[in-house]
Amino acid sequence: MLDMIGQASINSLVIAMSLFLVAAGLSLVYGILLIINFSHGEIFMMGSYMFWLVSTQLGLHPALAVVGAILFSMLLSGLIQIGPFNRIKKEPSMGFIVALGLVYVLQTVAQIAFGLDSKTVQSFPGFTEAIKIGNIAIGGQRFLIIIVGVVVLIGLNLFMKYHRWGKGMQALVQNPEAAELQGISVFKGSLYAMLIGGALAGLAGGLIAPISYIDAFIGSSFVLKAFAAIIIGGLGSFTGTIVGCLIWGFVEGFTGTFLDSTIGFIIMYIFVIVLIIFKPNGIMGRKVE
Amino acid sequence: MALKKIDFKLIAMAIALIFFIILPFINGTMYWQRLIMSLFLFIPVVIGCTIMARMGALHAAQGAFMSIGAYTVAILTKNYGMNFWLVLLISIVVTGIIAMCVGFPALRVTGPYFVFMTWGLNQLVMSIWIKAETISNGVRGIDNIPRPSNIGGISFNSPTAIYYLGLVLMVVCTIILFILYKSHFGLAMSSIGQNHILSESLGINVMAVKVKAFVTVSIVASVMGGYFAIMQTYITPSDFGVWNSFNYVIFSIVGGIGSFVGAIYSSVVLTFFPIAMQYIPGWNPFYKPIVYGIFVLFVVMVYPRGIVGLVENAGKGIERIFTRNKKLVTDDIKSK
Amino acid sequence: MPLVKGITISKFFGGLKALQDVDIVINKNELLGLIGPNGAGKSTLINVLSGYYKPTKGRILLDGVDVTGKNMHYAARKGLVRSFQQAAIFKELSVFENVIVAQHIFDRPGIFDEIILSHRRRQKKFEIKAEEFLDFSEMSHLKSVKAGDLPYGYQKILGVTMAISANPKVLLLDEPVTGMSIGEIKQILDLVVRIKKEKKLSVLCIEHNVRALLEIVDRVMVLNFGEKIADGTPEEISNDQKVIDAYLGGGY
Repeated sequence: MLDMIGQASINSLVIAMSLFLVAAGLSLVYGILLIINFSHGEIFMMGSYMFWLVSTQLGLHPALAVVGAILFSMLLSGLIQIGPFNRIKKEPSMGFIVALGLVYVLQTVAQIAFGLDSKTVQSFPGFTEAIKIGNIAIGGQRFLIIIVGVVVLIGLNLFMKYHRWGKGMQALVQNPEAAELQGISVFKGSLYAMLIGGALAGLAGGLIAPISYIDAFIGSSFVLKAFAAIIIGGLGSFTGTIVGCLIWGFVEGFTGTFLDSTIGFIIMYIFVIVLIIFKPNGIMGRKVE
Repeated sequence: MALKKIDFKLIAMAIALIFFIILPFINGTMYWQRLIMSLFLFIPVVIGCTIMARMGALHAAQGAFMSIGAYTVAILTKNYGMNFWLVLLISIVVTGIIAMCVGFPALRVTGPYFVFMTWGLNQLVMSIWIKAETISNGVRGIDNIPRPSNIGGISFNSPTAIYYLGLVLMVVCTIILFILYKSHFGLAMSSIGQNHILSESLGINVMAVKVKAFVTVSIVASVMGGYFAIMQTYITPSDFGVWNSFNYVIFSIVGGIGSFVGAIYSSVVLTFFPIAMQYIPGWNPFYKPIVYGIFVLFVVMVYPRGIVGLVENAGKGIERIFTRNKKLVTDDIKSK
Repeated sequence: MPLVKGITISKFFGGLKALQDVDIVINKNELLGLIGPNGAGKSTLINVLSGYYKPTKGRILLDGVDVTGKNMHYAARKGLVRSFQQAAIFKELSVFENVIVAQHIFDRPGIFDEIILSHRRRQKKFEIKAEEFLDFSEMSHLKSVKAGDLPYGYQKILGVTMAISANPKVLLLDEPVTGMSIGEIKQILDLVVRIKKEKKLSVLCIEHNVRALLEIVDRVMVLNFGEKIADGTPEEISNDQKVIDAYLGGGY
């Protein structure tokens, strides 16, 4: 029994960290642009496909494939920011519609470009073996995801606090006009946020692909959960986002092991409803309105 | 000038209505009738999205509410032999309750949070239909849904009767939604969409207005869902999935943001576009989402007035042609 | 009985004290000025009185009815309407339509009692009243202009007009002349005085332009650092040492 709990905990942690890799980019973009980029999932999906392309079709080392995924996702994000998002910055409420349009386009493009069958990729070399702690096993790739997730969390927090760009982006959200006067351009700040967000999505795409499969729809299922995690954690806080991801991960992990994951979804949905009623800023976030 | 414009729209609507009424008599095959029954289905649902959009709320759960109506009708009439009309009333009440329970928390928040609430609801409802195999038959869906029983001496055993039922339902629902849209209630909704704090400070109970609108729109969707069940006689969870809901949202925007008539125009597009595209060589139905995506990106980024804007421009163009001719004629008469 | 009575109102934002134990009374047909240095809590007080914020402590009575903690629309329906510092108008609607929406307060929008005939009669009534209000504010010539296209001064006047047309018993004006030219200031302040005299309303008016305000008000209340430091006639206030100190000798 203890073993089952232990195993479920490890699985939950993996779910949480995978979700965090996707949610981190979404959270950053939301925090700076105040737009929920629902097409973030599709950027992740494209990153996964790019990883597949570079590692299996071009036969390059997975590390290079991850870099390829990151670069491609950054490119995609950059284009989205320069094009559609720049157009609607006066009307952020249209952000969802624009993102939805992008989702439709990107998903179909992926289907046309890569076909309708789902793809699989191998775990990274060196991480193919499972690590055993007592009776509990954790796959090597999954372990890698956890490590990278933690690194990303710490890295993002440090970046926002100490790096020039990070501080500039925060200034932009808190007071766009003052920031502009200081020479921080809203356009540039938004672009950097999207680029970094895209890079994170690409990274997630490369890392997560081996433990799952790749098709045109993997993005949208992640995005809904990621958004829930961000709501729970609160706007503008990466620590909040990881908390949200952990909560989601553990609910899904444990209900999946012992009950049914649909029950997990119901629980989380009701939890988010209750949270929105009583604490709309999330557990750690700053004021929404 | 404005009066002329209204007349034109009313005339067009009247013509369309007459056409719908006489269609079964001019064309005996069910092909066009089936197509137009889909149109009947879409119109109130897309209008519902438009109404909510006017208040800044993007309703991504119309599919879920349709499924509630559809499954209630399917399960209760097929498995329990209940009277369709009674079941329709039951589904209205049930939908109303669910819409209020979800609406109250969901409508307190705006923008992406509200989208999340409705999107999440849609996923949730779909998961329930898929998992609760004993009542819903899971992914296989429910088939052989019986026709509605006779009411007031009218029998619904023929497909044409179902067609006319659809027409009646569509007209009734559209009128209800139109009253919502045009009345003082509609003005309140519009002002909430523009500045909800100001509206609240002037005495408009913003939450009450939002919830009433949401519940009404969702009940309408549910009724159309019930109609869908007896129209297709076969329903599966995927008929009501998130992508369908998103389609409705997209088309309500494409019609023209916040425009009632626009929603009707775009419903026509939603219905006939896939059919029309079949005639273009090289077309693969898979390309539909790209086109829909491009439609909506185009409207949001370039042309917010949407289809309504196009129609009005076309109308103005035609008017200009006529007035130009009149001018030439009057010049002619003067010179004589 | 005073029209509005605020009893020991306190408002804390986390650890930040915005208001502490503020008592306020607005009598019938009275023009009350509310002044104080920046950050004194004047806008916060209006926000609390109108229901935009819920007070951390204290009670608000409107004509004897307790409206503490209720939503803004509740206070509005009971007769307490406020204007906003940033001119709050419906930018996409015309000036005329703006004033019609403001009258909504009389009409509980019900879905099922929207019979077309009585709707038209109601609409006519609102339109007539809207003409009257626009006339009162001397904005009739602008009635078809899209509100968002108005010059800022007129937007603020429109905001005040909308507040009046919601038929309040008491009007809370949040810095109605801030950002206005001298001519516009006179126009708005004249309007405020006429509101009190001709419409027989009570008005609470926040203003930084103390000199202009003291000329028109019956009574003045002074806030500093979230607390009330003085309350009296304009003469009493201008001679009150605490008030003079609060403004550091300037502002008068």
